[in-house]
Amino acid sequence: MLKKKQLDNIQGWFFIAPPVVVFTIFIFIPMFVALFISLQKWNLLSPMRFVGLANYSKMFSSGHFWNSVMVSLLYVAGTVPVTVVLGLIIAILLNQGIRGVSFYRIMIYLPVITSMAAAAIVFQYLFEPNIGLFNHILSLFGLPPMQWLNDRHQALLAVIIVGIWKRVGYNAIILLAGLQAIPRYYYEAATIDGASRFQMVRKITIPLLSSVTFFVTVMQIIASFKVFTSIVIMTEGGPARGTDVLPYFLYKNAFQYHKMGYASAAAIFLFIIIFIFTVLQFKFGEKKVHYQ
Amino acid sequence: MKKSTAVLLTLLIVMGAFLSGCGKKEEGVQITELTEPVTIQVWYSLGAKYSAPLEVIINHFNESQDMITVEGVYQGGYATTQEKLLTAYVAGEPPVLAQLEQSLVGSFVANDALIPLDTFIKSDKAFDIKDFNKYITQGATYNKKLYGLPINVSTPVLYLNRDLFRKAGLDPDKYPTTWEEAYDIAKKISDLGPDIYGLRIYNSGWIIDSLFHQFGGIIFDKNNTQCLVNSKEIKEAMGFWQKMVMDGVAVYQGGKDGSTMDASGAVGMVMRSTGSIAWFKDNVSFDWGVAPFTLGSTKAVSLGGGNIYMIKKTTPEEQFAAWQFLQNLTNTENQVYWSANTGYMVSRKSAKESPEIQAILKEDPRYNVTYDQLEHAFARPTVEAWPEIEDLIQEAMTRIILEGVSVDILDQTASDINELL
Amino acid sequence: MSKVKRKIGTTPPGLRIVIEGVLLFFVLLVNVPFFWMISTSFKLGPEILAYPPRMFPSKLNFDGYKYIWTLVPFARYFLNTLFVSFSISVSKIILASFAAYAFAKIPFKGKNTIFFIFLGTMMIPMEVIIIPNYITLNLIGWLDTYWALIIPFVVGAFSIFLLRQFFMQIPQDLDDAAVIDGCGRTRYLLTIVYPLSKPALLTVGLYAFLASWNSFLWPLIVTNSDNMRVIQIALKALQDSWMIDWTSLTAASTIATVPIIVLFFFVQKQFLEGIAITGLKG
Repeated sequence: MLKKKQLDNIQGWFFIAPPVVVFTIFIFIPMFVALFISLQKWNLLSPMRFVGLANYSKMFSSGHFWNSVMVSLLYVAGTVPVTVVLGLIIAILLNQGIRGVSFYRIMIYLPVITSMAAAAIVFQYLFEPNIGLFNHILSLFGLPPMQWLNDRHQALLAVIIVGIWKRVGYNAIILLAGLQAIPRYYYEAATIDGASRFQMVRKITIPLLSSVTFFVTVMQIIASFKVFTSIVIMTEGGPARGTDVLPYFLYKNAFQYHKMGYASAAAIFLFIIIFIFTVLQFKFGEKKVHYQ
Repeated sequence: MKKSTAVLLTLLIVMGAFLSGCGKKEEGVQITELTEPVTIQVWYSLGAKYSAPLEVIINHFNESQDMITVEGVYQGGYATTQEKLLTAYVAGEPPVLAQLEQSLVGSFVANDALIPLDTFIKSDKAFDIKDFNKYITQGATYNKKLYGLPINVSTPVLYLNRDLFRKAGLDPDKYPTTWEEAYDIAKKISDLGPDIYGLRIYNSGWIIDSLFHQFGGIIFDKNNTQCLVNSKEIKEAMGFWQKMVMDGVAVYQGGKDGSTMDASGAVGMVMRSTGSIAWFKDNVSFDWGVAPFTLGSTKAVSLGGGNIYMIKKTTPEEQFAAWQFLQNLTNTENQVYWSANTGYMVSRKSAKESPEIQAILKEDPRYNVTYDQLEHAFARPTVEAWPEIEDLIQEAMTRIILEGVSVDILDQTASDINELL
Repeated sequence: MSKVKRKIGTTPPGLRIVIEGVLLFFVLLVNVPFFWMISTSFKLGPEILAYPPRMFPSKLNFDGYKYIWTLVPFARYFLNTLFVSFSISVSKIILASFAAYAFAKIPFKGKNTIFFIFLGTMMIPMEVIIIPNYITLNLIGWLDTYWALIIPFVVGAFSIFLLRQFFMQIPQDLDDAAVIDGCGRTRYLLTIVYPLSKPALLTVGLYAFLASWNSFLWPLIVTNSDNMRVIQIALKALQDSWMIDWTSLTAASTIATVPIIVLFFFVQKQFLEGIAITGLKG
């Protein structure tokens, strides 16, 4: 008879064996291969050549690379706070004992389950500067038409809007569940103390929701750094690199410029940025998180 | 420790596959007949309307003999086909034939991934390469070797919205022959209203290459060792387009938005592929015409479209079969069929002379324009780093035209490009 | 995990109506693209280009749908997508639940490290590992097969993470009691834990289904024949074409989206409950 400890070890590893195998073959090894390739000069068609850290030094001295870093950071900064705050507002509104909560929940969640490729195609049409619906709506308010995807800065705004549209529902639903888990007596006590609705949100809801907020923020940051499909379909990184986020930058270098080594270096960098952001979140975020 | 050894070992195996590819094979004619049936793939990049006639040709070929089965696979746009071919080639499993856009081939040629067709042509008495228009075959010739045979060849032509011409009090039969005239006509048309533009321009690689040539500029020197996009001529060309947009006579819009504008009738003139004739016929409700796009002091239009190339890392049997099919695909009869169904040009003189094509040209002279300007056609650069270079030029152009930046940023562009050469 | 019934304070009817109005407005706003997609897919050329844009097509015109039907063998693509997505979703439920159970309940050696590494896989940009994976699949001989579309995705870190969150809430002593003999845990998982975790399992399944249904880069790269292709590739093919045709594009988008929405309506209740669990008790 095995000891419990041994049995735990065997069963534990046995249970996680399938993901270990799958991840090893399809994620870890390829990632090591990418790391290895990042030290090579390789155009995919001819044999590779070892170049040490040349790809990295070239990358760090490339204006286009830093442009992509900047665009990615702007994209993250433009989507994450808005999706979280908007998600929180919606969640709070949904939690006010209104009628038809399940209807709103479904309708708000639809963009989350939609194919990004399909959504991006439709948005392209909506953003069309001459006959698109969005410019028409602007004109109804007497506002001048926007160039949207045809302007470097507005294009980034446009893909940020699509990103927010796609993900705000996810946050709202999770935050709503968090709200519903807050015990009612906190609010009852606050009501007795004469706290206003707004004060209750500030003093009770937001602190008690911090762990959930923290979770959605981390998920959104990871997702935003990895944004790809909407960029490929709507802008191809343009105009003039205005939406050339890091995933698209590396994809383009790999598949269109045939610079696999360089692209791999960019990929390693992207991975490290995401990693650092996540760790920072845990470091600073967790202190503020109020555990129930 | 044991685990990490295993990981390392697997890593090495994968690496080995990377480095070795699939074993090098000789190129050119190696066998003269097939002893057993073979199936080959041809990857193509034109969908819908264009894939149907191609599939018909493939089926006819498959039925005409029983040794070779051709499978046509539509892979998506040019860029997608290129991407897929690249991946398949790295893995050592490419198709033997693929349709690629001319400007995306440079890297494949430079890295010796394609098989020149010269030995096949020489060994095949029945195949007369001289029947092909020489301006068209030069688009598939690199280092004096012919690598591809044309399928959908085109040149950019000027599409005119004749209704807008009339509204502006212009004679729709008087198309511009110089950029100055184009400016004047565009000005009159754009005066019709705030949402009407005389000309639509955009930064597609082959269009801007035509523009540069028309102003007397070239992107590279003769040996492709130096980039000349900061030359006086090219700066002048870019400056001219910038002025047109700033004066409100032209609109700078590419991609889907651009096509949507064309169809909506908001544009007086636009340069697009010969193959767009079919698109105009289906999507446009106004009266439209076609004029030559040889507007500059130098008459020049770039060759565009795709050729079919033969890929390495395939067996001699596949290559032999591929040649049989290529021959069939590009014979006079099939070219006529293809052209009649798509609007693309035929590349054989005998096909052009055929009664069917002559009848089409007579019935709708708009098809004629592209043949007429063919003598001014030039082949596009075949530099290995072309896709990246094209992006750099497009980026500079967008900034110059949309953001009003001085054309002097082309100095920076040129030096960036020189680093890639 | 049970739905807490709450009516916080009492919202005055006036305020409630205002809130409902705000929410309704938001819902309408968010759903504009869906409405526009479906409406456009039935419009004819001139209506598509009309300015100001028309809300509704003058009559239902199916040209776009007919066109994409001739462009690709759509029925086959549809069945492929269904088969692949379903397989992935079933295998993810099974494999992820075992792993999640181990992470939640079994104190084995290296647990925390491995869990952290697993979570790290979510941060890897997939675009870069496409080429190595392609080569691996080619070595195994799986290119252009269902295996290539399914096997790399049979289990995922997110599903494991989601289920672990859920399993953590099940009392530990139930597990201790189950560890009497070797196969006790498996049986316990299947007979006790599964029925308890229906919403979570369903969530994982649907999530996997969605992700698979909506992915396009990977299927595009690893398949060559029409027999193996999936719906998103048809979308991409249309998108690639320079012959802009908004009717067909929106028709294809509609076909790619509507089945998912219909599926979602059927399972939304449990799904939304399940998905909410992931964010809790981290």
